Amino acid sequence: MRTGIRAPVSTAVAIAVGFLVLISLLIPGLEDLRNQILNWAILLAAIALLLGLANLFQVHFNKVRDREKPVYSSILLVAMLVTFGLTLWQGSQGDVPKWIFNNLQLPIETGLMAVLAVSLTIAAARFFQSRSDLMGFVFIGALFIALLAAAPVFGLELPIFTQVVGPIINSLSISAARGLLIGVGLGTLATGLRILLGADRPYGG
Amino acid sequence: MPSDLLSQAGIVAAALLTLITLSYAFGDHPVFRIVLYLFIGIAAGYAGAIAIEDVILPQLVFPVLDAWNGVFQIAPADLIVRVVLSALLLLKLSPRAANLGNPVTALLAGVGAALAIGGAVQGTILPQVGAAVTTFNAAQFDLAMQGGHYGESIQVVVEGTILLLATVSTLAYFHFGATARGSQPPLRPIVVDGLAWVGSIFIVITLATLFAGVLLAALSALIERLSFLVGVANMLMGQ
Repeated sequence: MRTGIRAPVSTAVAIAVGFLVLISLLIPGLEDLRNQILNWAILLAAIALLLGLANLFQVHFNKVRDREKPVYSSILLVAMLVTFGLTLWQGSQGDVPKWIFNNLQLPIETGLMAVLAVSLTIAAARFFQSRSDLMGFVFIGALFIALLAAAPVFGLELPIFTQVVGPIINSLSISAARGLLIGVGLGTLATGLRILLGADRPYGG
Repeated sequence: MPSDLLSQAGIVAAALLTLITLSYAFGDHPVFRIVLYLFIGIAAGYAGAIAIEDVILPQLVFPVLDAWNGVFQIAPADLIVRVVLSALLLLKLSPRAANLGNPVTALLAGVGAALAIGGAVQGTILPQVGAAVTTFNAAQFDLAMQGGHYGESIQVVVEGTILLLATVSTLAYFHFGATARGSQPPLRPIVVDGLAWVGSIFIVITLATLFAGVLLAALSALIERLSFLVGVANMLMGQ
């Protein structure tokens, strides 16, 4: 019998497990069943992460072998293997993994965040140059008010911004953000339901 | 290596990496790329080791080793399911047997979808709708009316109306349902169209506020990094 579904077993598994977890969220007394399934899912997600890392390793190993920008890929592979090996050997709280985290990973991460300040300022300036319509003015106006209301300017607090205009803009943006969040929630609900009903099959079905 | 020397080497390495990362503000260059690949490698290796240490060893490897020695930390049926599911997922590594891992990824997708639905309903939609309802502060309105402060009661109603309008019009902006009339192209109802235009203004205000928040966070990070660099320079010059 042709069902029209290319992978009936996978689809049945996704629907059955999804509904079991969903029902266990709604009906009290099914917590043990839910925890059991969640434990399996956590274990499988960790293994899936390792598969992703194996794929990353393979892609960059092939690049080194094919001499396609080998320096970058070699650095990535060495950093990955050394960090992986040392963290497994000493544990995540070991001295060397902590040293790597504090002195290599953290400075780059914070530095990238700091570079974002420059990028965002340039982006705002370009936006101001290119958009001279109503929405552009609203955006730049609200941005200036939010910035002036957030912190003193050269040590001088401006009460008109911190106590009057700033809170108004803030409460308006919170209300609109509420609309955005409800929209995101409805979108998530629709996407989840499509997977549970078998309309979307992101697992290769 | 003595711990003092290791610590100083770490500070110098951190300062160098910070300088190289900040230099991206002047444009992309090969040294920045090297730092970026280093970062990805470290982050990937660290994440993999944590996944093994915190999840795979205690939930799969140790129970299997214990079972091998006749000690069952978890029920044998549960252990068998874990081993079988893990083995099926590992088959994804082989292009020829990858299809056998599909039911396991389906299980992950099903659990993820169910949790997303539960989280969206219980964690987002219901609390946010509840908060939108309470924009009309009924207690403050009653208090103002009883005290004869009619100006204040009007203020409560106006504030609530504007805030509710912001929420509803933002939602209306994402309503794309339209009907065709004769040979005309599909159009949204005029009320929805008007609400959507108002909503777009509120969305722009929200995006500007979010932009300001991210910019301030990034500025804090920039100030912290610059002060770190000044500290390292002082340390190296012996001050």
